[in-house]
Amino acid sequence: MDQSEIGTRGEAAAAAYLERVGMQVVDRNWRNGRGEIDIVALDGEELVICEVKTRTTDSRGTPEDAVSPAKQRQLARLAQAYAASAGIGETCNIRFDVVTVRVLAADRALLRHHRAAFVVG
Amino acid sequence: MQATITTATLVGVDAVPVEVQADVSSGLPVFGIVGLPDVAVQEARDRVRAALRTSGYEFPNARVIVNLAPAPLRKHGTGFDLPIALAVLCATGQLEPRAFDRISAVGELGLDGSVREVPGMLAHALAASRQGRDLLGPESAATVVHAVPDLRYRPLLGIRAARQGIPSTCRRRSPQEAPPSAPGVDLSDVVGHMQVKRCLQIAASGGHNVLFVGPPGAGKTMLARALCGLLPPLSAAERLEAALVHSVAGRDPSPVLGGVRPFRAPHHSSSIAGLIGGGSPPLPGEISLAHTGVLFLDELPEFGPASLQALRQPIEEGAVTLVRAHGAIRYPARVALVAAMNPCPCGYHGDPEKACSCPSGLVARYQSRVGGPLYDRMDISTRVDRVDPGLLLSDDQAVGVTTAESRQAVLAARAYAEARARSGLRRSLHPGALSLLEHSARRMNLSGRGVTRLLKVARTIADLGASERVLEGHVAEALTYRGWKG
Repeated sequence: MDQSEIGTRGEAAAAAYLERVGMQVVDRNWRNGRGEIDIVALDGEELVICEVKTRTTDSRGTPEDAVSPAKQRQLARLAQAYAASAGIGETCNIRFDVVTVRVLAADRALLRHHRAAFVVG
Repeated sequence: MQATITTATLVGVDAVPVEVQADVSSGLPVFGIVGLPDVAVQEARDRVRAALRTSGYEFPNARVIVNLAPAPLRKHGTGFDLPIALAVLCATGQLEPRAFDRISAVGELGLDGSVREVPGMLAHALAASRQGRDLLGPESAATVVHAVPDLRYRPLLGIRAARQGIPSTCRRRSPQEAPPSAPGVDLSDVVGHMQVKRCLQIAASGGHNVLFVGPPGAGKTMLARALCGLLPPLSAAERLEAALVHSVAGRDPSPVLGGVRPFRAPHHSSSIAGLIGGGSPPLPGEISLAHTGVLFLDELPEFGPASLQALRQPIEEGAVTLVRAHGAIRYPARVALVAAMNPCPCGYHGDPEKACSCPSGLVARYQSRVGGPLYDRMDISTRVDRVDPGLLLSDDQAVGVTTAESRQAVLAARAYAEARARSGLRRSLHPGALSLLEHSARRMNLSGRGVTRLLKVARTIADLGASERVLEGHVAEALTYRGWKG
């Protein structure tokens, strides 16, 4: 299984998890010219921008480490672009979640959901 | 939703009122602080977020903008934590905003929501009382802030407690009164040195600067310490003024509030900013921390020439004015200056028994490091020679006067000086004293300032003797304290 396939399966697992805890996934892999949002979901009134990180080893740091300040700023810009393109005004609250998937074996993985993982600035 | 909490930021020894405005709106989750905050204020974001969470509040998942008004004023320090947290809580409806109408809040937050002291609590207390507001702040500062009369203080242990309403004003806690004779060196602890003790008495009576010249180990430092105990008790206003400087510098002001005059002995390697104040944000220097007390400069020639020059003007004016790009700051600096130096690098020049081992040129060069203008400002110079070992080790030591006795004389002299007519310093001169003064001034090439200072010392000596006129003997004694040269 190659890297991108692992990533795709991780995102599928994350989306399934978010649905199970009561959120409504409205978009997957939304992209404009500047990057990609893995999952867009609605949690009640809140728009959730979700970044999924999947790892098979911790040898290059934990998956949480991968959501660096630069990545956070990029997600903030993407979120604004998404809100604009979807016609969501300033009235909607936006939340940034991070889901990390740590693959332990061929059929086992550990999933962590960080709600409101970061704020901007 | 918006809310405003009043607080203050330090400018010199003053706390200038600042409004903390919080605006919470939907949109991207942002927590931003604007209005010229420094790094410590920016870091408030992380402390506030953690403190609210651990104290059972909710930090809004929304766009939170905090503005510190007036915006052009630089804000520094961690005291903004509490007002920022309160403003956010009010703006999100977790606390009742109207409860804070007549309140000024200041305090640093721990991650557990505890409210901690910040430098300058006294300045904040003074500002709040001037504005007619209650001060909401850390519990631990409750004793110190009550040095400010008419202050209503509301102590807060942790931000969690604010949920039950703002704490009520606490009973005044009066600071502990220090014993009248400040702990330190008593004059009777110093063996011998009768003439030096007399000099200290004169200096304490008239507020004159003193220079001790003598070999190492003669007791110069002990004698300088003893001066603190000779000075009259501090008035309430003086205590507050001095305590304010200590509070702003982040030091415990309670000894000064208890009436102990400060004694500061900066090392000769101290920087100019350390001596007269400076830095960013500016802090008071040693000379201001010694305000109302004694500033002791040991090893005077070892201080850098720039440091000594920088000290001259504050000594003369009794205040330090630091001019910065964004304004001038003034710290009080009325000190009794005591300086000490060795007469030469080896220390034994002019010693009656031990010969000086320095080449003659070196002695002059060493002494010239201090510079004429500063020597000119030392009203009383005296040699402090080694005490005879026999006297030092004998059982019945000639202890001479105690601090308490000498202080009585000082208080009497000050009272006498207060009572006699302030005007006409020259007219109170006896004709014999006048001619001696004139003659000596010519012979010693005294400057105008030199003559005035000599006259003032003679006047103090006359006050100590409760003499209305300055007699020849008073001038003669004053002359012996003048123009020391090895």
